[in-house]
Amino acid sequence: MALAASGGVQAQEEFAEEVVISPLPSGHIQVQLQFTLSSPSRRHYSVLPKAIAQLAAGVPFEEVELSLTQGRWHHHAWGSPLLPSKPSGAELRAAFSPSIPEGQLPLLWGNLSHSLSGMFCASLNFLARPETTAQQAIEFGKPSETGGRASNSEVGADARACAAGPAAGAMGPRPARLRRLYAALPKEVVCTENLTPALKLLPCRDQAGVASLLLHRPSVYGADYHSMRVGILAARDADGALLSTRLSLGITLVLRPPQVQTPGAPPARRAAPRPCSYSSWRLGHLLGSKLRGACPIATQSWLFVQLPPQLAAQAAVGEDGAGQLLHPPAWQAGGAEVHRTGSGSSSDKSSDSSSSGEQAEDNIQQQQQAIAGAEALVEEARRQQPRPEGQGDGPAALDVGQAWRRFGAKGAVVAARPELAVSRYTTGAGFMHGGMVLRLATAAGAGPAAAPSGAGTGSSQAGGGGAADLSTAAAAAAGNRTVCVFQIVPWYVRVWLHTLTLTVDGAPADLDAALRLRHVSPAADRARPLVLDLCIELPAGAREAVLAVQFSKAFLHVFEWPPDAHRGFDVPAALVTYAPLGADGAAAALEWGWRRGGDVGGARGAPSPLLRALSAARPEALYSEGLLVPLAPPDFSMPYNVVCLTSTVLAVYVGAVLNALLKRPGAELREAAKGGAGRRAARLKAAKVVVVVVVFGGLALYVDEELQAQVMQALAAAGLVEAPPAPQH
Amino acid sequence: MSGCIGNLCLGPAYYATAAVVARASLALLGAGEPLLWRPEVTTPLNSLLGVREGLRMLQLGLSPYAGASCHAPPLVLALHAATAAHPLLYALPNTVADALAALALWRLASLLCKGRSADASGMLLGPASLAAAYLWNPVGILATIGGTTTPLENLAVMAALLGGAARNAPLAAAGLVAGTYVGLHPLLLGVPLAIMFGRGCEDVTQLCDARTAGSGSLASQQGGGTSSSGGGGGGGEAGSGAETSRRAAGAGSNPVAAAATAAAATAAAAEAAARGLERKRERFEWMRCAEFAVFAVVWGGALLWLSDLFLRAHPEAQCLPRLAAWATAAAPPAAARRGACWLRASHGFALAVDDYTPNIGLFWYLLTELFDAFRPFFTFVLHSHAVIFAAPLALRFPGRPLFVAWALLLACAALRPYPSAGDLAPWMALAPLALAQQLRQLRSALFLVNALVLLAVLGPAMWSQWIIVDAANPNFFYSITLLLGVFYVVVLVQAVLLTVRVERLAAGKVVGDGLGAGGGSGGRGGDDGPVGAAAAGATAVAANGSVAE
Repeated sequence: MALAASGGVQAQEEFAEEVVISPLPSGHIQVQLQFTLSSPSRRHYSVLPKAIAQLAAGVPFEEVELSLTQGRWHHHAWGSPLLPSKPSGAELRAAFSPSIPEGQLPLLWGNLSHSLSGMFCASLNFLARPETTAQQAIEFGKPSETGGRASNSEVGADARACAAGPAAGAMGPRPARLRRLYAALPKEVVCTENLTPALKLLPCRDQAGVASLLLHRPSVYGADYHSMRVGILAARDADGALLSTRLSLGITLVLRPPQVQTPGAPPARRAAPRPCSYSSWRLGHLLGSKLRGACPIATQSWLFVQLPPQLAAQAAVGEDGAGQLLHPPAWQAGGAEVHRTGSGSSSDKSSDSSSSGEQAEDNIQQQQQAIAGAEALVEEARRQQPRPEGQGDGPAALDVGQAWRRFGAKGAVVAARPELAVSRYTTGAGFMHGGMVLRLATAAGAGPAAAPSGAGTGSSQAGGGGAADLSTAAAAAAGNRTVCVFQIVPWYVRVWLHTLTLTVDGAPADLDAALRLRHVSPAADRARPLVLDLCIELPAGAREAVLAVQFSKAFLHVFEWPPDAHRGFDVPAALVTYAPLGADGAAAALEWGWRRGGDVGGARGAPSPLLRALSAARPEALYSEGLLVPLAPPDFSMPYNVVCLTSTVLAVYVGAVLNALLKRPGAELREAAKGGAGRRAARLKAAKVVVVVVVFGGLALYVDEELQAQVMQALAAAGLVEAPPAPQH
Repeated sequence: MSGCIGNLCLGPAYYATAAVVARASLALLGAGEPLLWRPEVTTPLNSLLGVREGLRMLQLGLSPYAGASCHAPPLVLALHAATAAHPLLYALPNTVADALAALALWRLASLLCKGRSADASGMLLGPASLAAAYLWNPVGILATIGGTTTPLENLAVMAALLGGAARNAPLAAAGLVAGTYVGLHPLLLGVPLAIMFGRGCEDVTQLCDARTAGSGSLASQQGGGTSSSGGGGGGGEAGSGAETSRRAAGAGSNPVAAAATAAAATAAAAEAAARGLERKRERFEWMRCAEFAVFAVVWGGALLWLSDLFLRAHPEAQCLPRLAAWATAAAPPAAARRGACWLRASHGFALAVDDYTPNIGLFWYLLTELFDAFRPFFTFVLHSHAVIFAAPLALRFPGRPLFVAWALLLACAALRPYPSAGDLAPWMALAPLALAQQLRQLRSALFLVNALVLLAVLGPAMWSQWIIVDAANPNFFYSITLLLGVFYVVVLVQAVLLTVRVERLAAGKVVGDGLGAGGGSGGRGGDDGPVGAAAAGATAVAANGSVAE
């Protein structure tokens, strides 16, 4: 492997491993690991796993994203995640080219989900069922962008309200250009059996490099939020032939740090992290394992530590506006260069690289930095003395930490909290019907009334048809906000669309007037789910919008019930997407900071893929809570009883009515009068019995072979027929 | 014409107005909303929610039948289009339908009574009282307030029977086709309607005829019943002073005299019997039947065409192109690939029984619990039970098409896949008319009525225990629906037995099982029971003798 990694032939194959550690204002620590493997299409791969390459070659998808998540991202306490958070359970999305006929999609989707199911040991085969799969017809993007291929009119056919809103540069909902399939499996349990096969896709597995942080699985799966996402991007030419494949494996952890023994910090109690304070942490304590050097094959290895925003601002002030959101200890393996962020700043106290005799140590440059003007804290990246792990000559272990001199950095606030808070719940009681409520509330202080300054450049074309103007920029110019809600509801939760109401700030609003773009695909029993894709324009200054709908609960067949019948049935999380209004607010700062970080990677001409992903403009995507809807279970022990009882009633119905119809009230009298008729009737009755016995006996003989054999034996014993040949054993 | 309660005689308009006011006030009180979720009233097939959903989907630019929520036929949607979403006016089409159905029932009863008053025609309830009873039937009111499509179907049934009794082919065909269009099962009424057109409706006022003729076996046999129903505080028509005086003068008030008269007038009985046989031998008028069939085909085609016209924006939901393609064995139209047509969503849904939502029928729990391998077989068997007696009833009672229609309505109410409370309304309303003679001999009326009341109490109680409180399991509710099925069976068997007896009495034959009409009347009214029995016995012997001659 080392040979392959050093060879120049592999110049086009890349493997970047990165980790970002950012303390959250709630005291949790977010650890984001990202592994990016990319390769052009070729016969032999050295970095890219062959399974992935074969999958990309076999199934003509454009993008695939699989996420396996445990826990829920708490936006109110943690702020926005680095990468969009994912709903609990498994979620699979794939995009296919519109040139692929609609009829082929179920097959391709089935192939894809089954392959991924095997690859990641998850029950994704449940996702292949048509009753869970939805086609997403509305996507977020810049309306000016033109897809590589013709827009699929069939998918977007329902999106009638759509008109071209050519506000260049503004992000807004638009009919999807690709055939986007989506399915979620909220009850999928995520465990180490999913992580292990994912790590097997990496060249160094979890034995070296960033992935070695995951070596201690109990702390990985003890995280408050754990999300593993696998993205496969296949670039294809016009004929669909594979040009290149990129696999990105991202793992997001939100960890509750064990209190670090830090000089200067008060003794810690074994409690949940204090709110509104940043915790001190050290990787070794946090994850139970340390960095074991870099993966030798990796072309880039990065470790970033994110500073809290206010500190970043201070740093920015102190550093002549240069801005420094990311502080390395950035280290890179395989290259001779030492990367120092903020290399131009005068605040570097020390940037030594102390190398010991270990070979891996040479590759690790580590930088310790403190920030001028930020007396309150010391950001510390401490490197432990390299110790051989176990017995062998393992790579040197690196431990990074961050300790606050004044404990807790009081006043830690959630700066990058999303502008909307999403919550969802069910109403009603009983097994017959209920209601589902999706509540969107603007976060305090981030009201949509705050006029955006950066995004208002879109040319508003609000005239004409009124509903024609779709661009968020134009809407934003009016202070309005377009929010898209994507919701899949399984068929057994029968949503009544006519009860869908929109309430804005407690007052009923006209939903049809507020709809900007919609795609509704009604549910069909046991065939497909209800797909609601609604883009609603909320008026300026609206603090709260509530979408409420009523549903009936289906009654399922006995054999349609899962083993745990009384658990309830999952309704996948709703996805709420919107373009952040304050484009120059937190999102811009983030982008800016990452761009600064991008310079770090740019020193070598190959920017970090993670930083590139982070700095890409994207809409805010929030998932609501998943719902659990209890349905009325039948009595599972009753099949025979019910069949017997109902059939009895039916038999009585037929028999009694037929008897009544055939009844001749005078017949008995007449029979009594004529004695001979009674004997005739008795003979007739006997004949009937004989006929019944003969018919049913013949039937039994015809059906039952054992009986045949027995009868033949009996006949043979009686000497009527020849003895049949004895069956040989 | 007049329905009288006590000394208060009011016209049908009063009942219609009062019933409409009652429905409107119930709707105003918000009784409709909870009924949307009651399994006894609302089923997936007739639900107002489905109608509203279909209309909403039309509004969204989707075919109403693209999903699995709307099962109402297109023209029902069109009918409700203006009012369905309104919190009060949603019940307007149903209220109008109920009023029209009551009007049709009144006309039907008037027709069959030949213009005579209820008592004179020997019926339990007069035409106006029948209409009033229909309008005030609680199950009918529930079906209307719940916004279900069942009142439309009931209207169609009433119109069809009125048309059949009046031998009005266009009306009967329209009713039959409309009922089939809304609810599929009224299609079975085609059998009794064909008899009505071929042979004419039965004479439910035989008592009256016989009595006006002077005397007769039937007259005297049913005299006891008449007097008991009047004297025992039976019908609402009993209060009128004029009627009372007439009845006092009639034969029924003095069974002994009636018996004497009957015994003396065997010749008249023989004549009556001969008349009955003669009617039986009447030629079946095929031409009238053909006319009826032609009208049915025309109306059916018109409804299909109008439905497709209503769905013109959604070619994938139109049925005629598909039917045409199927009939000509051509390739189905391109739109067919995008979904099923509306027939599949409405009647196909009822036939497939894919929705196991509980109702008061027998299908739901059996199909919920059934093993998959047997599902098609049992679905077929269950469906066949609703139709299995159409032919036997018609063969057994060729002279009583109204009774056949009644029995089929009862069988359909019991054995349709998604029965609801509204399905009880037509056969309950028609019972005093179609079973005018039989009911007089019914001895288990108390048991049957109480059984129905008990089931009506227990059903919601069990439902609440299972669905709302979650303290029971579906077996509780299932047991009640099963008992309701038993109740239907008992009612149907009783009715058939009574009709068999009435047929024989009408034919002047002896009833040999000791359950003479006198016994029946003795069960109903104690005052004149033994005398009535004696009279009946004498009559029976006399009639037997006359036939033997």
